[in-house]
Amino acid sequence: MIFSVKGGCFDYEDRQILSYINFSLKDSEVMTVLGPNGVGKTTLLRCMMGLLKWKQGDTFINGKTLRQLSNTEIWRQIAYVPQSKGTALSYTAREMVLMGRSTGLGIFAQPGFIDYEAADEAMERVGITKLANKQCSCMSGGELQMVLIARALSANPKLLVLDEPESNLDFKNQLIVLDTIQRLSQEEGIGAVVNTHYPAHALKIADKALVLDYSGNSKFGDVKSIVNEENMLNAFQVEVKIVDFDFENRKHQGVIPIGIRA
Amino acid sequence: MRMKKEYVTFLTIFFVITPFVAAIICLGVGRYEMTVFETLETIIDGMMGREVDPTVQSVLFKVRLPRIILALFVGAGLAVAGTSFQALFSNPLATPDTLGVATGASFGAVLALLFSHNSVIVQFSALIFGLLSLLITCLVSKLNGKSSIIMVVLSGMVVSSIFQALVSLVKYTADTEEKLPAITYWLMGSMSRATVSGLLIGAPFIVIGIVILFTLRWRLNILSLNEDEAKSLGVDVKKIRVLVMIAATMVTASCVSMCGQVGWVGLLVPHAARMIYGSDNKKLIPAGIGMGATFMIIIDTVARASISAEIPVSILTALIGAPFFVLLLRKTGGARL
Repeated sequence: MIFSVKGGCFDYEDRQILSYINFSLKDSEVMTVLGPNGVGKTTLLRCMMGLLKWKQGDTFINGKTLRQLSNTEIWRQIAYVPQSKGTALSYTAREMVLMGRSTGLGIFAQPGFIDYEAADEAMERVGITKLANKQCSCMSGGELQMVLIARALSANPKLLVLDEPESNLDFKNQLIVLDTIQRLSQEEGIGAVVNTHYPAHALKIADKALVLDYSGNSKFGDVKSIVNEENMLNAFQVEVKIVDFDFENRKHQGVIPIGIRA
Repeated sequence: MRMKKEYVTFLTIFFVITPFVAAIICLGVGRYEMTVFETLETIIDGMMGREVDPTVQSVLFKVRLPRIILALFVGAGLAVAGTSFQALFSNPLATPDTLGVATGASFGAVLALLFSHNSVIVQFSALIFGLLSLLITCLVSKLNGKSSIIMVVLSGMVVSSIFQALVSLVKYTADTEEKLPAITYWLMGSMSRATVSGLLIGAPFIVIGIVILFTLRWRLNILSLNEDEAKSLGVDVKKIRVLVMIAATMVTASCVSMCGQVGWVGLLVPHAARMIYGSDNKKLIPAGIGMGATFMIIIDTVARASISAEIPVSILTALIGAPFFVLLLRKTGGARL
């Protein structure tokens, strides 16, 4: 699948939030979206999935605009993992994951045996089978995030869209989420668009990166060429140093914040 | 807290059977008392076309049976409407009563009663005003496109008290000899006026509403997520929302126009079901039908048979419901149920 946005613009109450966004992703590619708080990262995700309407420009799935595709055709290929917030009515993990099967079912249909199988399989794929009967309201942030990823996977999508999946999580849970995204991309060929606050995470898991700044402008390209000291300073007003080091034959990169520069 | 699986299976079978068992036992309860076997015998005789004692026939088939059937539909209907509203607003405190729908519907019914005795007109008027009150509650509770649990309940209270005032206005202008006592007694909520012809007009609305909500029951889970999430699961949120609103209001309005405002059932029964089945509406809706019907049949039998005069059924449901509501609030701290 090729997922792309061409000339995407969005404004809200006279403020230009997104202006002429362009990017394109191939199968199994991971793209991270970086930018300071309130810059419009979530808006970008919502626009590109058609949850908000672009003011200009369009989203394309294999060359077709979203308007040319039916709801079902869109949501069979893309699955959205929102920021994990609890709902007032608490479901078990299995009930929650099963909801991901909704796209393939008619409005009055009930989930059947295949759907329960798919839900169980999705939980297995992200290693949360043991949580199946746990109430979502009793879960830690990390557990809930994995449940939401499993819910997205249960529809067998080609592209996952994740909104800050690792924010609010502890060190270990952040790694679990990042490793899962990476593994799904490398082993199962599932692409991902990930909003994140952490440039280091972009360098760790992404192939492509998109950086947004307050003027609404964006830069898109290979993660190595985009997540650099100059662009980070420009977008976040933070001076950073990017350091490489090898550990047990693997390259790692760290992003060290030096200080704020106005 | 949820129960062990074996208990849940047992309870499921139990709740499928109880409405029928309760109905048969309650048929025999009252001033003219009959044992379960006598009741069964009479029913079978009646169905086979054999001769039945006319007194027994009249008590059983003309008085008690319509009443019990009405209680069955009202109990099931209000429980399903309550469960659906809770999912729709993703709010455990949303019920036909708290949203103002029941009061709106009863204003519609009272207004129609003032001009006409035609039950179909009463039904439709109740439905229209029920929908209107729901709409107002939705609009008032929305702040920046979102409505919090507490805002929904407060808006419902406001809407409810407006329609309550309008009901009082209608009562004030009603003819004191004839209309006023009828309206007042009807408002208290009672199954006593149940007739076969009344049931034939009102019950289909309840049945259609329940069938719609029953087939949508799994979608109700998705509806209770936030809008973006629901949309991203391929669901046409607007369409389902409108469908659920109309179906649940239709059930409420029809219950109200047949037996007045019987409060608390839409809160009590769904939450009793939640304690056993959790939040999955796929299980809650069928459970609500069984539990609601049973609950209402028993309550109505107590209302008509416990003392020599009849107690309005809404008094009983309130006496049980209100303390239960407090318990629910205390247990959960009010914020997250």
